[in-house]
Amino acid sequence: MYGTIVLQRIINTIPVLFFATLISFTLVRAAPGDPVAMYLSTDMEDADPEVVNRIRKKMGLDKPIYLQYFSWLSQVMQGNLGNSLHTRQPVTQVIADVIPNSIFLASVALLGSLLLGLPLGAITAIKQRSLMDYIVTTSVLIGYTLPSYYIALILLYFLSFRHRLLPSSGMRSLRGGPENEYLDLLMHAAMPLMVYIIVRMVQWVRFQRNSMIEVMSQGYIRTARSKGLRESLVISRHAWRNSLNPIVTNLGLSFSGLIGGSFIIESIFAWPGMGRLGLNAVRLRDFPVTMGILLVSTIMIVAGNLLSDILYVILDPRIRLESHMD
Amino acid sequence: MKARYIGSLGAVAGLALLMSACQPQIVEVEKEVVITQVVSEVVVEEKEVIVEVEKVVEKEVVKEVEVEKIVVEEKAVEVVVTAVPEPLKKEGGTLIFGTNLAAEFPINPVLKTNRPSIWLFDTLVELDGATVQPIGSLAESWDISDDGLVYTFLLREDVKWHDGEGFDADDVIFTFDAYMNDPDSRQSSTFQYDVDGEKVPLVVEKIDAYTVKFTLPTPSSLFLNNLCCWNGIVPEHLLSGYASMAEATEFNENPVGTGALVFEELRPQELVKYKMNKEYWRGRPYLDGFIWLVLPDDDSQVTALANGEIDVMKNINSVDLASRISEIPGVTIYTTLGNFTYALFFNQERYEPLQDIRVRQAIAMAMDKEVIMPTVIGAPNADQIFNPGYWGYNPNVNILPYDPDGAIALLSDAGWTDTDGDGIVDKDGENLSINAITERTELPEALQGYLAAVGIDLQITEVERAVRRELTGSGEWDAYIGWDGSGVPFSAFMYNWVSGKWSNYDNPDLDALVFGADAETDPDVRAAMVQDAVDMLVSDTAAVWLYYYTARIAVSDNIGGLLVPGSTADLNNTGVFYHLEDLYMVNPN
Repeated sequence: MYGTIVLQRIINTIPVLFFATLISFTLVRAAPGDPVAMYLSTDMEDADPEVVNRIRKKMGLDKPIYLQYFSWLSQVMQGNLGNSLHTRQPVTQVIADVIPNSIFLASVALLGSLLLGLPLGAITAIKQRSLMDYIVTTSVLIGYTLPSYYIALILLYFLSFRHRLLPSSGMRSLRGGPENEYLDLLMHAAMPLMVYIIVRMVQWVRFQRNSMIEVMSQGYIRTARSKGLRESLVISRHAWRNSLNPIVTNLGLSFSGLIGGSFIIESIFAWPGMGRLGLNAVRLRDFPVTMGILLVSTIMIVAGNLLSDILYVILDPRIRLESHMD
Repeated sequence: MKARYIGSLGAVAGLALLMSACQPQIVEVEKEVVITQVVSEVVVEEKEVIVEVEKVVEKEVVKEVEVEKIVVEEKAVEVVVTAVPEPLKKEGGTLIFGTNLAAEFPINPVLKTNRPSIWLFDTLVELDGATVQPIGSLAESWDISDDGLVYTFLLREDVKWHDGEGFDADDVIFTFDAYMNDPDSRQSSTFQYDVDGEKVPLVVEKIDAYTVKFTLPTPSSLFLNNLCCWNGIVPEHLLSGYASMAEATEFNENPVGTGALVFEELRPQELVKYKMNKEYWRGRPYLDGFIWLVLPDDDSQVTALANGEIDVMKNINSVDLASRISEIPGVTIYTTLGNFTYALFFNQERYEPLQDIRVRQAIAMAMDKEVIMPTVIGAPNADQIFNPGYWGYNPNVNILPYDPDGAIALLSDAGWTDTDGDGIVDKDGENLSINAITERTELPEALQGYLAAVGIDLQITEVERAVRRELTGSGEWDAYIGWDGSGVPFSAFMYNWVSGKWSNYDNPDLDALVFGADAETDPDVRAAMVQDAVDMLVSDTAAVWLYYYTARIAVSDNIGGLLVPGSTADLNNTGVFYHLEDLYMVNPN
């Protein structure tokens, strides 16, 4: 019963992937700027146009874009993402080198923001219009409007520049730093994680608060209360659980969003992840790497959507029944 | 802190001089001075101190011993300058070089000019840090035939590759063959010469294991310069047998050179790790290691520098950044003039009003460069393509003064007046509106206001580097604000300006001078020709040169042995880090 729904959703993703890659490939390749010139030039001197032309031809970059797309696509079908124009390494390897760093940040940040955001959202919903509610919702609003790079720079200034509590950048200490390798990693990850958690948490607080308020006004909560159930049980057993439904379905989506949001934060904290790699690849017009990252991100978004759909079906019996009746 | 150094230095130097005047025993003096930690940078100021001290000496010493006095003075100066820092040069430590440039493969000078590879691979010749003249490196000496066509190089016999193999003539022959013939070589014309419109490559021959002969089809003064810098020598024993260097993945990801750095590890987007080559032929390096750390963000670089996470920060591009760094204790900013000049280029072919020299002159006269450049960029105002330290610099060019009224007069002379009252001068119903492309808008925005004051509308289009390269490459620009390569060590020279290059400047007289200077073997005649060419460009206001590239590099005071600032060129763009084997840490980590 679930199987057919899941299968159908998976089949749906194929045209999505095709068009997403076609559009991104065309955009990436149609952008002005020549990858070969970027590869050969130094930061102030431009490369010899003769050499640029010779190497461009050798790499097959002088062919029409649609031909380049189909040769790229046919290679991708065989599991080959091509080689970076800049480092000449296989794109799969280039991405595999950095993706664990990004996933580490993204997953810890997701977990942290949920653990902080959901209870805070729930409490403010229960204690609506209390002083605490006002304080939390106001700070959430401020956090929501602050751009993430601004939060990053403030943290950098206070925690690293002024008070030297945390290392400013990178993943490991090159000199000094704690003996324990994991502690060292954690200290380096602390600031980027804080930024991610703040940015994500404010969304969860808003989300959970709204969801909880809505649930609390439902008839079954009133029923539970009127049958004399203790308020703590009403909240934990009925309200809290039901309020989580929309959150769970949003989880999948939010994970892919974290990868996308990493471009700026990874640059500020010199975190060697997907965002850094992507930004650099775009700047250098290294389109095989750019496409590799876009493909991975697209797959993650599609997979996230798929996951939400499936979770939604599992959690909400109405959908299950509707599809059963079809 | 520095003032205290100089003060105590003066005291000790004075004491030393007085003592030595009475009983000239230099050995004791050395010990005294050691404590003061002389940094090479202070040397200039020391001299002043010594001059004062000399006066004191004169009072003390009786007239008869004048000869002896002079000897004492000389020795005392010598002691202060050279003998002092020696015991401070401790061994050990890893220098961390913060940069916003990427760490990436391939590391192979035939394929790509990779920044750290300059310390990994040695070249046949290098440029002297002070005179910018070619001096020996892997080539110990050379001999030039009278016609300027045959160069015979004697190679060093004591050089070893990092894997222990000996370096010899085969490596040189192989390397130049690769530069000239490899399908993936980044070079094309550098080692080819124009002979009656034909491109003829030079011929490299092996005479014996340590002698190599280069035969040029035509004399070229740039030939020796082209052997330096990026054009490192690669090992034949590891690279022969590949159809193209691009296929030599094993080498390109684990490069082996003869230089001061030995490659250890590269983590993409993160860092490149090197060991110091303790067997380096130029001398045993003091440091143990060198890390090229990639920090893309300026703010995190400044923080890392303040925290001691990095020892060096390069590319300090703005006055604001420099002033923030100058507040960090224990860090000094060194400034060197580089071999590039920032300029406003005119594409006369594409935007017709620029063909009138009066319009170009009016633009030059409208800008108060002497005020703008130091305040906005923190760099000296430029009046020509070369900076004053270079032999091509022409001190007698006719500089147009800042004169807005004169600019307005020139414009109206050329038929440009504001007839419709919109604040912009016009002619035949068209406004004088110039669209300039640029990669950095800071300076162009400052120029905009000055030009507007005389009625010229400067439109600025900010483009990314990749886009700018495409536009300047295809000629699709009216004006461009960016770098003019004077190319001290490179062959670029004034070749931006000869016909057919991207500057779109067309002047057969200039072509003759530039090509003639390259073929000229007498350095004085060559310098005169280049200076004439400079004058030709300035007189024609072919561009408005704005400022001389000023390389600012912030270095922790823990690092010693830097190339003494004051040299004319930012050689290889490495600034004060010319010879890594000379660097040491006062407190090795």
